[in-house]
Amino acid sequence: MNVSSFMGLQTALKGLLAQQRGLDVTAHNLANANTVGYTRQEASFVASEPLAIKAGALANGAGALLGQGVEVEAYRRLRDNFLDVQYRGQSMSLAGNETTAGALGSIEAALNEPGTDGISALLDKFWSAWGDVANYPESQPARQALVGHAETLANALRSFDARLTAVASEATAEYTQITGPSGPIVAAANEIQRLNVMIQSSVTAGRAPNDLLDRRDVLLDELSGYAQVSVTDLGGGLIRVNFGDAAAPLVDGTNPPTWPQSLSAPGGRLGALIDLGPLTAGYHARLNDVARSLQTSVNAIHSPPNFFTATLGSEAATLAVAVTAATVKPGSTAAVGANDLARAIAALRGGAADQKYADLVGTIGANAASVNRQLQTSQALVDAADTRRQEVSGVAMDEEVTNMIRFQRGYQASSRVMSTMDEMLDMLINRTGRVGL
Amino acid sequence: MSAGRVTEGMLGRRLLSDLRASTHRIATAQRQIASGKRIDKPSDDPLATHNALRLRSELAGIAQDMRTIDDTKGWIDTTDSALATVTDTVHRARELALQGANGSIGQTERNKLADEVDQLIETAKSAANSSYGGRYVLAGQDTDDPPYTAGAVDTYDGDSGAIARQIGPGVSVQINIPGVSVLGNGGADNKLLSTLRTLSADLRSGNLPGLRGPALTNLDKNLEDVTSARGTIGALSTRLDAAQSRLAQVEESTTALLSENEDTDIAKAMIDLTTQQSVYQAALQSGQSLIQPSLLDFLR
Repeated sequence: MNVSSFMGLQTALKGLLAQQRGLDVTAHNLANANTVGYTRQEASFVASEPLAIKAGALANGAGALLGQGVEVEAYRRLRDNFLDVQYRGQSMSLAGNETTAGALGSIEAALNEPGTDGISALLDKFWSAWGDVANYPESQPARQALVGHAETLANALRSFDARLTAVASEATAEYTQITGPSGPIVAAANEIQRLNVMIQSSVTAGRAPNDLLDRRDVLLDELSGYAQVSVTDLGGGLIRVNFGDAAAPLVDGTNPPTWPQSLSAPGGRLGALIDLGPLTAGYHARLNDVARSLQTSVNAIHSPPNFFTATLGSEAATLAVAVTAATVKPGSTAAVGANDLARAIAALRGGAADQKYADLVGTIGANAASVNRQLQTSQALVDAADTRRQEVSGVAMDEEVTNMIRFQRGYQASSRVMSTMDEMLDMLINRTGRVGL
Repeated sequence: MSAGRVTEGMLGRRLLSDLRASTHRIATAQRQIASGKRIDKPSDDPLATHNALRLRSELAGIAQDMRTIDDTKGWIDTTDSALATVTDTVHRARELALQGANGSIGQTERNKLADEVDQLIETAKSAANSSYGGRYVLAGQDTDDPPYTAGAVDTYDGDSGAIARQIGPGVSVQINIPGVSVLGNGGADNKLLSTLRTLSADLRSGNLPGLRGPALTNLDKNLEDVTSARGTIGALSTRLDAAQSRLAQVEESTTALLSENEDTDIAKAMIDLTTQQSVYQAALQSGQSLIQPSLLDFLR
């Protein structure tokens, strides 16, 4: 079989087109160099199906395969799904730690310890006020000052208790907002489902929906901050997304998302918000214990009348001073100089209430310190996972520019081949057989 | 997959997060220097925070005990000077009794001596009515009323209640002497006021045997009462001084401990700050030279 004289032109054209596609992909990569979640793409070239030439084409009479140029086989998306799994796992713990650290930070700020305005300083002032009353049991101003200090202390306990309640209810509100009908979960789930439909039709039509896949991965990254996300590939471009410990998959192929669902330990930000409830409840109980110790230890000496009143079970929220300067009782007898009770109460300094409060502050501090350390660790791990992902998928300018030159030169070379062919054909068509003309 | 690829985005992000960490460390060092405290919130050092709360509570307790001791010292001094006046009174009464017992002086003289004894009674009572900070120190727990009234009535108007003060952790001492134990309750209890009344009457009636016998015996006994009360007060004063200097020592060591626990080591913090600042500047400079050039700068 003879080879057409024009075949070289065709080969050069294929080269031109392929180099142009390569340049197009480079342009796309450079344009998206700063797009979040963009995965660099690569035009993958492959030599065209060769032309079989029958026997006798070569000197020894054998047949041959003649190359017919280049084709773009695929536009590959350079991504490692295993790194996505790692990144999403770390991003989940990072978001959870951030939420817990934020809440503990605001609790710590409300504590104001160690300092001159915290509850421990007010306890010190309260005991000292009792000491002053013991020194001046006759003095109305000393008792007035004592009642003032006692009220300030009770106020501080109540307002710290209110701060704990507020942290818990803010957490509940945030959880409701995130999981609610206008929250980010349902928005992301709907978008993923729509992308599933679009990706499926592209895949069926044999097209590679690289940019749609990138968008879907960004949404999965976003979801992974809220809770544990696990992705199952259903084939045909479809995925199933399991979210936290929800019973049904959040997104399953092209089916409409199943949401809302109940979560108990989803991990991530939602998990941290759920865990804040029991955490603050624990602090509540310990703070109540502090208030109860204060109330019972003082009342045991002062009663009757009771110095403090509080409701059993919510002592910190209800602690109140039940006496006035006139009814403060410095001594067990009616004698104006009697100070035995005041002395006994002043000696409670450093007792159960002080110790329990210091322990509570220590616990909150230790919890906050631990979550801050975890936060740093998970931040470092997220950074590392992201870096590894960028190593594979990120757009490197120098690389793209180099490719650009490569494709430009390739294009120039192919067009040079074409003009050479042209000259050759010109020779054949216009000059051949014109002897004597 | 080509591991080890480095993209512009990675460089930028890395630089940014390093700069952020460096800024954070600079801010921490600056805060520690400016506030003088190593611990700003409990999570900076939970154990040290716990210790700080305990040490501060101890310091507040020490300060309170010191204040109590200062106040108690004033009380003790007042008591002592009142008892000193009473002591002088007893000495003078004894001299007057001896003069009156002398058979060579006349009744007119004795009446003058009796007048002076009456004055001594008033002096003793007014000394017993001494007050400190509005409180009558010799009235037992009934501190808002003077224990004795001027004039003929010698009844003790206070009580015998003890007043105690805490002068250290778990250490309480009684600080008052009820006046009745020294001056008596009038009548015939042979305490100082009763003795002086009898002395005055004996002088006026010229009862020489009385002046020579029971008057002197009783005065000696009364002197013993006052002296023993002053002894108690003196011992207490010594004890207060000792407690005060001990508390001062404990305060000093506790303050040192607290400072060690939570104060910034300024030298270290300054070095940290300087180091971090130079790291920050170096990072900025390297960022400038690292990110700017690319292949694009060299191709035309």
